[in-house]
Amino acid sequence: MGSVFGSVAGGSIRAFDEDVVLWRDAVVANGGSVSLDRLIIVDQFVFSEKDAGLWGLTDDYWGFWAENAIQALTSLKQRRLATAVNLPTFTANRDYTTNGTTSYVNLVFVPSTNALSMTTDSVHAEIYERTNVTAAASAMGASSGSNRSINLGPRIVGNAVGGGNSADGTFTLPAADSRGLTQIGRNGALTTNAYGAKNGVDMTRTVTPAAVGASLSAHAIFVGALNNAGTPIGFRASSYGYASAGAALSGAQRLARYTNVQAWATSVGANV
Amino acid sequence: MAMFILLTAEQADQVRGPSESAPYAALNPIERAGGVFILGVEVLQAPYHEVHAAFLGGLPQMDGNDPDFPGTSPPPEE
Repeated sequence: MGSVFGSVAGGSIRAFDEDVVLWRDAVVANGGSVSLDRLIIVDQFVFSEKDAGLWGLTDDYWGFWAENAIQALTSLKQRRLATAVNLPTFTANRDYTTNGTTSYVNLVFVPSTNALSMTTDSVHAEIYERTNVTAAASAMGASSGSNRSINLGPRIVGNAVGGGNSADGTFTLPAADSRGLTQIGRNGALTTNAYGAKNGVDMTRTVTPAAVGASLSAHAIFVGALNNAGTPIGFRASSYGYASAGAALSGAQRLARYTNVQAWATSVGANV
Repeated sequence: MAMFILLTAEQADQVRGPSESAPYAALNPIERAGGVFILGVEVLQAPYHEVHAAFLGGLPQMDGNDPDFPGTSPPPEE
């Protein structure tokens, strides 16, 4: 069964996307709620993602700029209930904020077992940071050792740092600002296949990852810290509005993704 | 000024895990140098961690800016 309500996109009335209705039902089952206005906004995002061919390349999405904490923690595609650990601060319609010392969000998404699109050599991770922070710390990550690491540091001085199932590479930020959408990934078996983009525009890679992982991380991805084989390290004090993970995206797809994410952010007033 | 609750490993084990009333919330005291574990004092005010509030409220606290505040613990061996 697809829709309960009607929605408008591109000037025509259509049913709500079935995946969006299932997500709404999961939020309610978890004890949260989704307003009609928000359902329309999320439906538009999913419509845009499917229209651009990005939905099928993505394993999951987390919209932390939600109306309530349970809505924020219920992932959009696989509908997993993430865990807010040690009380990160939730602000409705904006973000989750971690304190850089103890708090983080466990996405309960384990790449080696939960990835459907992501593969060993096709990896993409991204996060939308709402505060400008420079720190040698992880906004999003999981590592099982031996370069089986997905890690994303949106800004260390003038660089973004991270890896897509590899050691970390370094990418030059267009401006010394961590805010917005930072994307890290790898689209092939070589270390030189590593890429990074800021707000959909590719960044220059200045340090190539030293090695790649032979299989995906067997540990859940954290936001606000790196899950280092079960132990959170590299805590980051910042605010996060959105994250996603999946298979590698092309340059055009990275830009299309940014356009979709920024539209979602703008719709809820969380854009930076 | 961020204040933190200081716990031993045994005390950390007592509170570690998901909230009974809110499965989307959990406590996981973070290990620091010297085998000390910490939690932010804000957890004392969280209704879904209320079951631990009296116990945690009785433990020592320290300012994160205190020069004696325990440093980060090195990552475990992989």
